Amino acid sequence: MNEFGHIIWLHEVCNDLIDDQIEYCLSEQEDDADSLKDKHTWIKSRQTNDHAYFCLLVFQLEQAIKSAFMRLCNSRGSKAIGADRIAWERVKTSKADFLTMVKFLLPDEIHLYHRAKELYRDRNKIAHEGELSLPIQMSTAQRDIIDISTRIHSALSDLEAAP
Amino acid sequence: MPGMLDTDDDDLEYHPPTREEVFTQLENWRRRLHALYADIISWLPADAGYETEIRDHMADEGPMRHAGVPPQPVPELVVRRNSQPVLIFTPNACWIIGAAGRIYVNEGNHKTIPHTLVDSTSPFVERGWRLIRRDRVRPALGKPIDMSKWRGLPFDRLQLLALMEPANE
Repeated sequence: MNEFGHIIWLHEVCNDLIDDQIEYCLSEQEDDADSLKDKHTWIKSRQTNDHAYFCLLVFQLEQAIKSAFMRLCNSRGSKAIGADRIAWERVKTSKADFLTMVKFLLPDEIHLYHRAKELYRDRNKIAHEGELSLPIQMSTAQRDIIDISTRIHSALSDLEAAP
Repeated sequence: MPGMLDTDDDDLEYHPPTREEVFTQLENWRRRLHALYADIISWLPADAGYETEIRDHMADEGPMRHAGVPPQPVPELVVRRNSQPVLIFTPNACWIIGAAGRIYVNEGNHKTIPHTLVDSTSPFVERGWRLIRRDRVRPALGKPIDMSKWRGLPFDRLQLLALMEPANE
């Protein structure tokens, strides 16, 4: 989880600072329009912070999957001969999409595949559809990202060694 | 490719819920909230001066606005002791990335950051409500993150009583 640990830590620190501001607003006795507006602005900021770090984590996961996929193609391709070698070369240069790479790397892990798919779909909601009104439960997203990345790392050595 | 994955539709596009889907989802959310509140009420110690009230909270979430649905009532649970609010369970999100729903748990006065109750039900991970307690201990730079804190614990009677500890003193 090394490449993700620092991002998760930073997200937590930023949220903590935002929470300080929310708590300050909550501790104010006045319920006037300005105080309420400040409170809602900070609550909204916390959600935006979640969106930013969620996307950053998924981008890191995509990168980790891409580099694991390339490593797999290189090592299997270099060992293969004849038609197999050509096939691996084709796979490598096929510009495989995110889910295809996950299928190659985790062929027997259908639950992790589906979690990767959900993460990617959620990332698209934010990145392409601009759906910023949906809050994120970051604890679950972080767990899924770390589970997938850990499993890919451990599966890679087995897959590279496969005949 | 393994056969079991070939059947997948691989549809990665986001389809916001239609008006009908919004109402169906809200009805499902209300059912899950009422079931949880029934458990909470049954976990409260008898004869200890606790009273409960289920009142309406107006939900106004992004997908509802997108579908042109005005704010809709969802149940909020207030636990009082000797007429003073001790815990308030306010539904926060029915549409949320990474969970099937989220409730904020305030300690009576709404003057602190709430605890979080997450409905973690999904086809592939653990089911049921998990409690993530508010934790203001800032992690140290470079130290490993304690993920267990964020995964929370299954919400049961003991967790509920622990949340009410200040009120029990």
